[in-house]
Amino acid sequence: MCFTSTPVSQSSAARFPSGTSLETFAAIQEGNVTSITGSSLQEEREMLKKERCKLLHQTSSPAGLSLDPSTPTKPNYSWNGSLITDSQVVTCADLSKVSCKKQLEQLAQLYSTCIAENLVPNIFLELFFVLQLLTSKGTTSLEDGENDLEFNQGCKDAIERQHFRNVHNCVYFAVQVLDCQFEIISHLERGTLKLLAENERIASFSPGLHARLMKAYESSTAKVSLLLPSSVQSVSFQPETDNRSNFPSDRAFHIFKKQRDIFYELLREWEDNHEKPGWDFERVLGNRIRAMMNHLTAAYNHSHFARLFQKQLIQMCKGPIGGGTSWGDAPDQDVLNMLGSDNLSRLKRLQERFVVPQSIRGPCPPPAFPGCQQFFRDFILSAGSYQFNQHLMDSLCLKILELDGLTLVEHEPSDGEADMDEQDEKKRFTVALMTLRLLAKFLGFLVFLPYQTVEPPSRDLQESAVALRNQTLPVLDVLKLLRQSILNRRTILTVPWIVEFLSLVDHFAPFLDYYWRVFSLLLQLYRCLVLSEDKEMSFLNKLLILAVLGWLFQVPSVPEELFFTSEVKQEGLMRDTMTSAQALDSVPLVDQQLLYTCCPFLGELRKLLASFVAGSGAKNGGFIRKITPTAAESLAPKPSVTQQKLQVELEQAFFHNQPPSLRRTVEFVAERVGSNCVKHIKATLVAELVKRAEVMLQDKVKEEDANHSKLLDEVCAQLDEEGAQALHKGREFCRLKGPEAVRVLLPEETAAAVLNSAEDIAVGLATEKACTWLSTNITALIKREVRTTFNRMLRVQGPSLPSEDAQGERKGCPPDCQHHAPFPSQIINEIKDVLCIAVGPRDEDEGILYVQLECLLKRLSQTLQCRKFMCPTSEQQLARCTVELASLLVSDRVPIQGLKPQTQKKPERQRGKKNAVYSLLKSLLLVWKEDFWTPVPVQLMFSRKNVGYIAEVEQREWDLFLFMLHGLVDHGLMGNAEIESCLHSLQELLWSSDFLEELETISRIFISEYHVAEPRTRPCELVRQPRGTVAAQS
Amino acid sequence: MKLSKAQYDEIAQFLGHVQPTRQSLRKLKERFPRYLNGVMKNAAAPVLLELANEVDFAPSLMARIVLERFLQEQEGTIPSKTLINSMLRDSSQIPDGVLANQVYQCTVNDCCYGPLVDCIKHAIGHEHEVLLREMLLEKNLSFLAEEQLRAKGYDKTPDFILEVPVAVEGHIIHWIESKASFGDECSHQAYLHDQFWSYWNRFGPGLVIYWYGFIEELDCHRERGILLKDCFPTDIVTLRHSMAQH
Repeated sequence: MCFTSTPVSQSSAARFPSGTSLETFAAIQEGNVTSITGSSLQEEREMLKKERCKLLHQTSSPAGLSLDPSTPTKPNYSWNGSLITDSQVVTCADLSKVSCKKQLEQLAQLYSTCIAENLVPNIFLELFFVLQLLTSKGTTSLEDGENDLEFNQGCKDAIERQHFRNVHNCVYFAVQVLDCQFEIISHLERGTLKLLAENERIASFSPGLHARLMKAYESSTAKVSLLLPSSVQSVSFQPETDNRSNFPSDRAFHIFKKQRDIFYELLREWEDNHEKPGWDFERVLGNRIRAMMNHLTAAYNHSHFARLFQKQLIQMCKGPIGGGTSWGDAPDQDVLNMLGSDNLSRLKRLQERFVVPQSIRGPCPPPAFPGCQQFFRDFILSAGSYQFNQHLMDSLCLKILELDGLTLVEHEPSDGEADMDEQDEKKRFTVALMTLRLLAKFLGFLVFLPYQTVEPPSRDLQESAVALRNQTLPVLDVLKLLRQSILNRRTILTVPWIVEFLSLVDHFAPFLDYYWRVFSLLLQLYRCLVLSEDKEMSFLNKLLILAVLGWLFQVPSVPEELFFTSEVKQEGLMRDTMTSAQALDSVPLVDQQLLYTCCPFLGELRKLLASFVAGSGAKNGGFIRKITPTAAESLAPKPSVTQQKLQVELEQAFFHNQPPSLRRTVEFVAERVGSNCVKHIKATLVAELVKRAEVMLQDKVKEEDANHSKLLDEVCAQLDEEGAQALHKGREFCRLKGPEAVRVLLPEETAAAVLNSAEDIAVGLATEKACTWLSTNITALIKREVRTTFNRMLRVQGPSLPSEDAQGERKGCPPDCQHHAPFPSQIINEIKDVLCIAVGPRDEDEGILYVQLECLLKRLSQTLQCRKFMCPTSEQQLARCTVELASLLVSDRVPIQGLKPQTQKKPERQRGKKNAVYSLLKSLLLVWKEDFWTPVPVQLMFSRKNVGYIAEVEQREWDLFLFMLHGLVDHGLMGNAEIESCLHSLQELLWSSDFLEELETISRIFISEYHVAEPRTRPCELVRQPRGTVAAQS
Repeated sequence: MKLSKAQYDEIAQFLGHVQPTRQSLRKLKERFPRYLNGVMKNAAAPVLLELANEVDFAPSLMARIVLERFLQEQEGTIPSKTLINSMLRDSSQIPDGVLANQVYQCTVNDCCYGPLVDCIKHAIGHEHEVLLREMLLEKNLSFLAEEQLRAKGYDKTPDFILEVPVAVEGHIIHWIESKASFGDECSHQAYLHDQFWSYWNRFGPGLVIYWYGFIEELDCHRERGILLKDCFPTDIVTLRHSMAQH
């Protein structure tokens, strides 16, 4: 240790641009290196700093290297990736030209120890620096002799020596460090290993390291791809959470319906346009978002919207680069056909080059919202809604806690199928982790949003701000979760998302008592996780935690003093000695794919090496690794257990010695069967009761204009008893279905007793779940369903239409129906045409052929008989139209043509026509009686308008009308009394006096005939007589 | 039958359908007194219908305006939409006999709008839905129909949701909507906004069948998940239960 005594030169500070955080360059922390005292380490640090500074100074000279080997630390973030350009010539590094090897070796050893002991804030930053040294380009101006000379001259003061003045020394140092850090390097992805293995400088400086790298590369399978085939989909509508019963009012339900559509409309618009130049989120979408949010506030729909928002966020953004950036990411079918599936991987690789961002801005990029995440962030910002943010935070917290509780099935390595299980578990873990990180990032964004400032605020404000904010409770108790995760050995899941959460802190938050403790604990954890393969945690698990923590310590708003302060309070890192089933840290869950997905900035190492090989621009080749996307599965919530304590204990004991999968299966079955049971009851018992209620209501509604809500209550009360059956039926359902499911899901070889117990427990849990729900909700459910049906019934019926239950008997077409009858729409259309001509205006010679009318009525009958294409509206319209047609026929308004015989004599022609009309009316009456299912509104014949048709005729003819009256009675379409009252009310309307007289006469005739004529005579015969009378009177 | 946009435009221009404008509406209000004068002379004359023809306005819309105005003057308040609709549907309810006749004449003579035409449209729509249901049954595709969905409380319901999605011409579809009309630009945009995107938002990609054809260029959202056809598709790929077969 030859540098220990070197004093810290005052001048060193002056060489640095102000504001650059020097502390992070060198990072030896007091304390842990046993052989070195604290103060000397401080000196060491200063010295290293100085060395680097020199290097920086040297290489930033105009003629020097453009490759800036300064470690990009905050706040100097953007390492722009301006790598080696074509014009520069790489000096050939030569081992023989290395000066002061011994010192370099010691320096390398010291430096490596700092990395190995986690005494640097970010080990990958250091590795990046080392690779920069390895790939640095020398300049010819600094020649070896000069260096030697300097070395000889400056022996007195080690710090003055320019150890890194030439490429050879740089490379020598780098290779030494890499040799020490081989284990970390060997865990990097394959592409990086390849570049290292093929690096000429390593090969020439250390053939041993070269050989090991080569071997590591050849055996590595760690291919990584950051392209994930993403297909963006909407969040599906789930009746359980989204239908009307989940909303306080119809209005709220309706508003949410609109909000869902507006939300996707905004999303689509963003998708289409956000990459266009000049498109501005706030300018285009801001007002629309706020308008929608105002509706939310009015309707108290925030929780629903927050859930939709969160689900869509997860669906779109859980991929590695923040989700696909285009909706149609799937390769075009035509392209696929052209290329064939063999070339699909090539196509994908090509696509990745286009899609995956090439530069991540250095090994420590600030937190960002890439891809689709941007939409969600901007949405939150534009909405600016306190209520929405609060609901979203609630929702995020809940989901985070749920996912953080992930448990994996223990797999027995001896088993042959363990491998498959392991893969499944790994997938589940990956999905959970990625989702957690995404949600935590957004939670952090929301939590610290009110305190964010564009510029770092001055430290003067800190004290008062901290005092103020120390009073509030954190939204999510991350400290507790972190402690628990350490205790339960679940840091591999918890730490990465807590890091995402904390990466969005504002500048003062870390100084709050609470968060300071969180950061301190994380730091303590960081120090403890010395990289080596051990039983407690696999190497890659550790590497991931170190990588994310290292990144966090470089985030601009995380204070530097955090890492270097000696005030860090040591908490006793208690760890469960027993490895419980919950423990995750010991399971090798992380692979290179996950590591690089979580830390895409690690790819910068590779880019650096690649650019050195290429000698120009940051070219990096495409590489591919297959990732299978999996859906996030929610864990079955543990059913609430309210049974007696002993039973619970027995049950727990039962599971204790069984494989954990048994418990999961039982719980899963219980959950599903219980839920299915409720659904089944709804579909059978409740549906049946509602149907009965409908019948009861239909009868009562007709009786009187009763108070509807009272009526409803009465009917529901009657159904209540039967509703109580639900529990019984529910129990039966669970007893039947539970065992079936358990038997199918458990291994065939499960012992009979175990199987029985498992079945019993599953049935018990399912029954409890279902019955608890049913007993509290069944009455309300029935009532709600009945009310809905009732409202629908009232709406369909309308005030003027009588109910249709009389037709309830009939169903479907006649047995031999071929469904070849004309469509209802066709017939309505044709009748409309007839009405059109009858009502006019029409041309002089325009008319309708008699045969045409006859045929139309025949086809009408056919159409009504075939029920296949009939719907209530069509039928009601047909009924109405035919009544209109009848009214027009009765008043002789239909210009019928083509009558036989064609005589010129007027009276005969008249009679012929009348007979034709009689015949048509008879057909109509028959169709009304036989073919219509819906009641025909024959009362309309007596409306002011339709009777008015007769009144308008100068030579009034009443016999057709009388014929119709009798026909209605004879066909049972109207009763005597009904007709009488219709005629009576007609007389009360405003008519001309002579018409009124005629009406009275007709009315009298009709009444007298029906009171006298017993048995009835043919209506036709009756008509003749009054006609004469009426005609005489008119 | 699919039409290109150019072809459709040519037809539309040929039909020369003049849109009701503000000017014609103003004219209309001036004409209201004339209606009274007209019917004074001859109650049976088709005054209202001729009035509608004169200002190039759909007769049933004209009838609605006049009826609205009539009720407003009679009652002194603006009549409810329900009342107006009910009177248009059943002109017997109109308190003035002459007006009832006039309104009925307008309704019957209108080929494009009004309750009668609406009903015919509805009937045609229903008939095609039945036909589509037949085809789905024939193809053995299991589906949930609109009424089932409504019973479950869905807030937006396409005609059919496939219980197991299928691929039509290489595109996955979850739902099918039957439209017994020609898909022109205007109606398609309205349907997209009010229905198709809403379905997408809830159920994912789907298929729309315009039984009377559509403008070809409108079929541009296939990648995003809205497929247009003018007949029942023939290229249908279903999910094969390979797991069960092994």
